[in-house]
Amino acid sequence: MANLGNVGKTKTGILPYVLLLLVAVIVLFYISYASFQQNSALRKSTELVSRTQNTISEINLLFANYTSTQAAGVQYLITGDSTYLAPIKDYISESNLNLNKLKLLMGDNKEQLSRLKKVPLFSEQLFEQLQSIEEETARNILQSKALSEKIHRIERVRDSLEAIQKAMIGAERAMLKTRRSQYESHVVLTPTHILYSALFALGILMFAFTKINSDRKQMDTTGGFLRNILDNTDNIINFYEPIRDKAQRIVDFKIGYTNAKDRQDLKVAHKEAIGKKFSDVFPFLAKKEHVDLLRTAIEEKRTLTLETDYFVEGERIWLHTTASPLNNGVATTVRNTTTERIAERKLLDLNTQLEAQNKELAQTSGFLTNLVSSFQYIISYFEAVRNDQGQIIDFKIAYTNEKIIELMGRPSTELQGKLISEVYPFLLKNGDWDVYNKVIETGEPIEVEREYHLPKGHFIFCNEIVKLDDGVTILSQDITLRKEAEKELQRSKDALKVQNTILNNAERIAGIGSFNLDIDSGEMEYSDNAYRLFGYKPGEFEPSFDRFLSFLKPSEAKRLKDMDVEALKQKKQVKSKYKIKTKEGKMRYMASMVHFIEKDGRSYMVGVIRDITDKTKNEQNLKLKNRALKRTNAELESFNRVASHDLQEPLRKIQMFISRLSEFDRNNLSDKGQRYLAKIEDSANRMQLLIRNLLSYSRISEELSAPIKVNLNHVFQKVLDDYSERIQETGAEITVPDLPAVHGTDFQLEQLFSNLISNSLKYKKPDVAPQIQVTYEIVEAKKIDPDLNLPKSRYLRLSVKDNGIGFEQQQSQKIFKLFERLHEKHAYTGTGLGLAICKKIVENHRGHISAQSHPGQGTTFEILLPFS
Amino acid sequence: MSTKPMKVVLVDDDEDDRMFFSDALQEIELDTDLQEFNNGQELLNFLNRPEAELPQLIFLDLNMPVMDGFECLKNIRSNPELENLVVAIYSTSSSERDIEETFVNGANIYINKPNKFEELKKTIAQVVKRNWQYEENEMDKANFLFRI
Amino acid sequence: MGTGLLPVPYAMKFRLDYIPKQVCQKVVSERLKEMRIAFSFNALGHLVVETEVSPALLTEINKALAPYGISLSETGKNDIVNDIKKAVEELVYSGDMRKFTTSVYLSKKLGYSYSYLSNLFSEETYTSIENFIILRKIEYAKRLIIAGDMSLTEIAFKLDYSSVAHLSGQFKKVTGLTPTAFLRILEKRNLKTKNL
Repeated sequence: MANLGNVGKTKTGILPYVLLLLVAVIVLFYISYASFQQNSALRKSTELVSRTQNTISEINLLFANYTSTQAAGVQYLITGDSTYLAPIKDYISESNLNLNKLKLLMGDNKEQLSRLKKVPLFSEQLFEQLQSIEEETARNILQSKALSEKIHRIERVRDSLEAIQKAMIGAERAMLKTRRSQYESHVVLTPTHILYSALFALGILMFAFTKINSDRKQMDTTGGFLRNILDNTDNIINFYEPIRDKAQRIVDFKIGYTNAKDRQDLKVAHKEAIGKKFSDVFPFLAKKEHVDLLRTAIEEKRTLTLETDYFVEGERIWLHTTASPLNNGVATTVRNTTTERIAERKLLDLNTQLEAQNKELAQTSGFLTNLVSSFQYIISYFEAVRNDQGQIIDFKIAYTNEKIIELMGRPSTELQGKLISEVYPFLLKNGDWDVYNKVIETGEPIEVEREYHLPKGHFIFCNEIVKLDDGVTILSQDITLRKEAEKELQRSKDALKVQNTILNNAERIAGIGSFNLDIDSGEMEYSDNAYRLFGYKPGEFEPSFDRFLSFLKPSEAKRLKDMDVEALKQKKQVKSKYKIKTKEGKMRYMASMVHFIEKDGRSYMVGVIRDITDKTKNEQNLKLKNRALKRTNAELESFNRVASHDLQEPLRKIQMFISRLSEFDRNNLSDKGQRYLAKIEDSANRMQLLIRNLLSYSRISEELSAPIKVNLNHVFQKVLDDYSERIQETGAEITVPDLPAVHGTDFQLEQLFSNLISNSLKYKKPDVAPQIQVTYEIVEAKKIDPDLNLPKSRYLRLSVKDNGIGFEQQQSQKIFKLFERLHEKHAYTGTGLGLAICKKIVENHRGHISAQSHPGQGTTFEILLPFS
Repeated sequence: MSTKPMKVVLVDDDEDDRMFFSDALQEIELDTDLQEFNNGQELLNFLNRPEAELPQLIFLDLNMPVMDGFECLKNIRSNPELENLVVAIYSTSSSERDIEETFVNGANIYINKPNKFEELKKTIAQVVKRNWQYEENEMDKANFLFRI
Repeated sequence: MGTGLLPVPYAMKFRLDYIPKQVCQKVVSERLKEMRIAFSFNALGHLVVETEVSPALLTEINKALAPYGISLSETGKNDIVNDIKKAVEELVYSGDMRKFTTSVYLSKKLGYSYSYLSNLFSEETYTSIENFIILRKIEYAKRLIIAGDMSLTEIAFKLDYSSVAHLSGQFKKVTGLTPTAFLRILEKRNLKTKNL
């Protein structure tokens, strides 16, 4: 523009201006043409979009009619209420109107038209079907075997219609989509395109105009030509020069140029306008925003745009204004955008409308779905059978639907016409009879839930009983599953209650409490006994983790908390022991086991608390006792060492010196001295024997090693080997059977049987060769005297029977006691330890030994050893 | 018949017992040469000397200070050069477990110290003679077990 | 010795193989023949001279044999004892104990009366032939027990014991242990050395 201005200022003759104007004219022609094309394209696409929208809404309306029609028909079928049928006629006429509109709207789309042509075929069928309902009474329909068929036919027709509807709407939507995008591109393209072209042209024209105006006389022909062009454009182009007050503020504008002649929409004629004040010529434009626009454009020397609405003689129009500073004034281009705005608004309205319709359609289809599913019910119509007095004596099954076969195992045809006293005799007793009578009497519908034991199983129905003529229609819904689920729920609730009670009791008995902590919310639950463990009544305090920790010493509470936090991190279970102070201030030992579970996205800490005070105290006692026992054992061990070596050594030496003394110096002693020496020797020998036996007795527990499998045959072999000399001397006869193996310590078992055999050989009858018989059997523990308290299930019973001197049976316990002797010290050699050792060995093997005897009749020792 | 006396060793911490033993050995008038030690360590020190003349028979007490008989026996048996030495345990203990343990650990003879001098003489004579028989007849030392 | 024999580069070396008894008997035979002494060798390899050999003659013979490292000495009691031992061993290990009476067997084998042998043996060994036989039998029993192929009954029979008790009794007397204890000890010993 500035360049052009400069060009204008240099006086280079008329030719360049004419050429420039020519170029401008050619450009303008082109622009006008392009603008026209753009405009008409926009108009067209606007039209197309709104037409498609219209088409879709028409289609929806049409089919909504059919849906409503059918719904009315089916509603009528169900309820028998003929008011549902009345609107059908309206629906028919409405749908005809819709059809015609659609034909017009689809005039150019052959594909859609061919679809549309099919619609009346089906709709007529639908109306025919539905109108045929009118002629029948509800009862007839209920009785009609064709009912379901009719419903099906209606459904089929409706399905076909729906298919067409879907296809049509689909096609229209696709079209709408492409048209919308076209429209959108046009809407965006058109105004900008025109704006820039116009501005360009305006610039050229303005430049030329000022030049020509200043040189009007020479340029008369050219000016007229230009004006002609400007007068013929669609936009209003004005040039204003500002009118300033004394303070140089712009207060109004003088119209320098306007092409607005005879503009119908603006109600002005431009011939009178030039030279006049802006506010006088265009009062409707003298809106604050518009004046501000002009002023700002001049003052700030930049191009501005404004789109706003104006009222021209009460009519609202939309104008788009571009204001550009030019020389000392401002040039404006005003375009009327009212139609665009209206189209836009119309589209918006249409959309809202469509949305509403869609909603309506969705509701309708929902209703239909409900309706169809209602046919899953059992529908029956029982007709009252009355006696002469008019009392109801029975009901005839006038109608029942096919679904009854699933209950009765018989088709509906077989049941229809029969009496309920024949088919459903139980109805007379279960209260249904009374309900039917009441419904007939009052006319009020009744809903009843009832259980039935039918041939096909056990059912629970929700029955809706409605009076119809002189009878009842019964709509039965199978709620067995629901009821059973409810029952199951109740049962498990009951079971849970019982379990909780049991758990509570068990917890109390076992001294166990449990808790559950919701880690996220900090909510905590205690079992009843958990409260009791802390010395409280169930629910006596508000449970929380911190409350729980308050029962512990602070240091222990911290330790426990740290442990739990660590366990939570690692998601592992944790066991802990701690001391608590109960409500009464008693110290109790507790052990808890805690684990962490995730449920429904929440973390819980679940735990069991156990009172281990008694156990801990017992353990402590036991530890003390064990320690004492260990000390005792150590003392015993050292005693054994003393006895075995330190005690025996001096004794042995005494004996040695005695033997040396008697060897060399016996003869030098007096008779008395010799006797005393013999006494000393005898006593020393006896003491040695005692010490040895005592040692072997105390060694029994010391020598107890891990039991091994001991072959008793080898044991007896060794024992017999040991006594071979004595056996030969006495001529003893010893019989030992093939014995099984036992678990034990071989030395000890050897000593056991050695002592027993030795005993039998020792206490033999004078001048009678000893006979010793060993026998065995394997016995079940339950067949053994329970007083013996034997822990294993099977035992080996070994008997060693001799023919020796025997003893009184009442002595049989005594003989196993330490240092007990039944005989005179010198009658039989011995220390009185042999059998005590036997008893200790057997008890060491967790067995039992006993003796049966009778003086002069021999003795039988019986040994029980665990056997596996 | 060997013209050299049998070299016999007694290891015992008890002076009286050593006296009884040497008296008994002298009285039985067998051609023997006795050497005495106070404990197992003393014996081992002697045996480990390179110029040591190995004894034919060792009488070894079990209960001794410094090194007891068990330890000493184990040491002897773990030395291949002393493998063929005949070891007689000479102890007061009559525990079957002790007796079997010493045999299992390589003792050849187990003697319960007698409490009569005559018995001691008899026992020593028996052991010396038996050892002689084994030496003379080159009998299997591995099977040489003898308990008195 | 110090003359310094030069080493012979191609000297050849030979090993001597000879049967000492044969060499010895050959040398002795030749020398005695030279000295005109009638002699023979008996089954035990002893030189038997039928005529009286005076100590002077014995010295002369020994002088003649000295260069060969051979000397003669009158057979002593020790040799007889050894012969008895050898014979007893043979008898025990043959397992034919039941077929012979030991006294008859020994006097026959050695060519002396049993009472002579018995006295000689006791004098020399502080023990009787009977004891020695028992010792040998138990020694053999030990081997058989360790081998584990035979039961005690079979061993008792083989070694001419009247019963297992008899064998066990004698075993205990000799060793101080019963056969069972003996076996147990040796098994534990083997187990121990195996573990080591």
